[in-house]
Amino acid sequence: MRLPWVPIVILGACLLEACVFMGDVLHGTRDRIVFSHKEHLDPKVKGKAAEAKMCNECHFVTPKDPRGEEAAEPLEASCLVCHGEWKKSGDCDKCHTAGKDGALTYAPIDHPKTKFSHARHLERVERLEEHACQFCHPTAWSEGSDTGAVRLDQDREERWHGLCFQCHLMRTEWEHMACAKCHVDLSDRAGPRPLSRFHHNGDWLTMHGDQLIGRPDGIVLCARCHDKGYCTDCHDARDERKVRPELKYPDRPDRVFIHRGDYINRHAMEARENPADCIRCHGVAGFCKTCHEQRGLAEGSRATNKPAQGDRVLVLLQGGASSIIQYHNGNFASFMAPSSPEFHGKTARRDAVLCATCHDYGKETVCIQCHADPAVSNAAFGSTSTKGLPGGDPHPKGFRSSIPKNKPPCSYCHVIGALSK
Amino acid sequence: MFTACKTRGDLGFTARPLSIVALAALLLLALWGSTPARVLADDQKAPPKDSRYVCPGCLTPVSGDADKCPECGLVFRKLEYICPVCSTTISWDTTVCPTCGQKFTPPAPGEKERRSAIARSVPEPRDFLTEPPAGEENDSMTVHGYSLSLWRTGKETTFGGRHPEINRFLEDASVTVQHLGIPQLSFYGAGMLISDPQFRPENTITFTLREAYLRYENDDATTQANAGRQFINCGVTRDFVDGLFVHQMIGDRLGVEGFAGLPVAAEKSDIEGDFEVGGRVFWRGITSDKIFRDFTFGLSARDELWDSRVIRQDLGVDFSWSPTWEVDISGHVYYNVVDRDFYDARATLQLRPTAWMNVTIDYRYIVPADLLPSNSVLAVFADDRRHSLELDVDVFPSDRVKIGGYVRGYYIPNESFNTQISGVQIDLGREVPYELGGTASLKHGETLKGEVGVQASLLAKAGMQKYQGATVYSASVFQFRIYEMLAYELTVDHTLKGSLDIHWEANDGKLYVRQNSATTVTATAGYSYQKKYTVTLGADYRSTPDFSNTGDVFAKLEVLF
Repeated sequence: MRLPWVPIVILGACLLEACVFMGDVLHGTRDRIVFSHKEHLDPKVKGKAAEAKMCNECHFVTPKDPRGEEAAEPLEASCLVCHGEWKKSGDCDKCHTAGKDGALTYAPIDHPKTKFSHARHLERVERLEEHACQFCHPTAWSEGSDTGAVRLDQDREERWHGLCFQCHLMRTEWEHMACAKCHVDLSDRAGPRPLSRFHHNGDWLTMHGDQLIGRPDGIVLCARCHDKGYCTDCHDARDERKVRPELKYPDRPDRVFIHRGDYINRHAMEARENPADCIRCHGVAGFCKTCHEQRGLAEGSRATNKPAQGDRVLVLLQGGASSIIQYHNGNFASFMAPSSPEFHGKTARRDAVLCATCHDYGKETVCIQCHADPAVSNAAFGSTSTKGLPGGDPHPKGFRSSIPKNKPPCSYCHVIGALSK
Repeated sequence: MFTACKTRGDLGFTARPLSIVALAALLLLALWGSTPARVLADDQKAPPKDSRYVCPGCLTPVSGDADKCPECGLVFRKLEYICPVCSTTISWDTTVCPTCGQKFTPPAPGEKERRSAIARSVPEPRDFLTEPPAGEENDSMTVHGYSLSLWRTGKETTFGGRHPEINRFLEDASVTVQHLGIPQLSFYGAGMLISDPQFRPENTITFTLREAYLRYENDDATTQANAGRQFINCGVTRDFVDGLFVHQMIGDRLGVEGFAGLPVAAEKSDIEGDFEVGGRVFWRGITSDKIFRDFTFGLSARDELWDSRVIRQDLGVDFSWSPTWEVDISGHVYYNVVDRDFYDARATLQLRPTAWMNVTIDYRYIVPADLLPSNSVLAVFADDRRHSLELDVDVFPSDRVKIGGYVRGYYIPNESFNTQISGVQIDLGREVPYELGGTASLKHGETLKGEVGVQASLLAKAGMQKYQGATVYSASVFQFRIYEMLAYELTVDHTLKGSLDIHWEANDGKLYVRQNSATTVTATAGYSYQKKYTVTLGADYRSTPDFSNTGDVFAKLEVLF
């Protein structure tokens, strides 16, 4: 069945448009203050004292707050000094995006998010004599009519960490994620989150895919700490010619990797626990087989055990398949006896992926000759049995497939002549 | 930048005491009957009009070496520094902090006059910034990257009796080019070159292009677009894709993403049938909303052809919801269109009841055979559904200690079935393999920093392997691992590093002829200059069923540029 791409794309586009519309609605209902610093600042004012005085007219708390314990956001009273008539006349939309008909829900930040004293830092910044504030608030002098875009929390975190770290050696805090040294509250804004969210705890290795999704910023968020190539250390594993990350980073025993130690021997055991974990990264068809063949573990990979392709089933039926005895439990009789605990059918039911690592050869797959439709197996072996060869119907209860019987792989068994070369 | 600060540095008082001191100084001056002119005379130095230094009390320009303000009489304290590591107050010419041992370069001639309390005492920010701060007003093109060169050589003794020699060279490099023509455009690329005569399947030199994409990001990062080979995580797609990815914020809270392209993993398939497309909607949390903070929902579809035949058709959704910052709920559901069956579903609940504890409960349903390509006839035989439930508990008693434990159990129903010819009812029984383990790590030291860790786990098959499979049966595995990692900073620029990793594991027998345990030891020693150039030498030792008493040595060079 081919997926209906056109409807899917149209549906996706509609979904996208609906999201845009929803965003417009939500965006419009959120009350903001329309304010342009550029229009309020005098570009001719230069020098620390003059600039400080100018900023202080609205941000009146900051120079008087050496411990950085007060919020730096102006109160409404600061605006009303000049724009009081707007409020008296009810021109709410002069300042509030919600307008006079909307909910005037805007509330200034009532406590600081970061331990930062403007007063102390103003003493230290060299560029005080010329647009000192611009050193940390670069958009304050250049923005147009916007909605207060100079707020630190609306800029990317890296920017502010970078600025702070140029003077403050926060290595220990950074390594231990002791953010409380500077951050009063990380739970408020969209970007920062509680520190515990960043610990790679639990079975992080197998769950990080879903937990990554848990961040609205997704992989971008990870890139704030990890190099952009970090993911590819593991995530190009489908290329069989790669080097395990354990071998690339032997000097980082603290990093969690899947294939540590003697994984070559351990992989068979862990794979039985959940073969899906292996397939998801490595696939089956090529990855397992190339190594198994090299080591003589795949079907027909050793000259001494290699039956000719057409003779394979006959060898099996005659009980002479040494490869079965060598590589499977029990002996040939128990391997073929349904009542035996070593019966191969049990393994096929429980772990077909395991069989596929050595026996997946398309229409040459070893299982087909015995388990094909009677007509197919009779044609292949000249049998006249009405039941075909002893394999019988292999489909488990509830088996479903959208593949037509005349298409591979169904046609390997269900169409006469499919085995003909 | 701060590194060239020339204002008065850490004078050691705050604005409020400062004003009191200033007032007291003025009163004192008044009592003495002095005038500002007298003060100037006392100081014998008039503040230059173009001085870059100002009195923190009255903002009057003062000369660089003034001891007190000629205007308000404020007495300046002797210049002091605050150690950036331990906050101890130290003198201006200190070269080693008496408390923590932090080293400083000796003051340059004239530095005292500059009165810089910052530039010398703070090392360069290289530990944190491998790239210039985003948004820095430098729109010229910059190139940064990482290179890892690794060479390994040694001998292996395989169970086949061969003694192949390992001789492998690896070059793994990535590069980032920012401001590519315009400030908003950048390029990221990563590739790996491998040369190994023993590498399967043939002896060749192989280059793999892992990532290569152009990225556009507007100034406020509300619009992002990537074009090229990149990693996509959305719905059923968790692959590298050659395609286009767009990220758009709509307002502060709502965002949408979309992508489409060819999966790299299917590059050997028929190109006309390989396609992945999907999108994501996400909502960033609002402070006032206590139950609807972060929410994401992704959907994607995947299609792959091989020899003009469908071998994969999947639909997948994923989601994540954080009703509060203490709770995360996430999961995914994948549907196999060919088999008309849900084959992978997962739900994870993560709880943080306290700041020092994390609890994760994870449920998963999976059908491994549905991950086989649809052209595999072996999928017809399979009835291998399984459920797993995992519980993780991690505690962090301090910043330096981390302790964790987990238990994961599988339930494999295994429907009984009848053989058609013999009519024998075969009951596969119920299998419940499980795995449990624990980890503990401690970061220690200040000067000689390090981390010691211990890990142990047991994978118990609970009868699952009793009669199953080919060479492997009755195999449970116990693992124990201990490691130590050390770093000693000779100076700010020079660091010595070392590590030791011992891994021991054993299975319950019948698996291999020679032995049923394995020991691997890895030791390294390295030197790092400015955290940018690192050379590592080391060796591996193995005593395993396949490779008994063998090992290899390696050399690695890492360069950040």
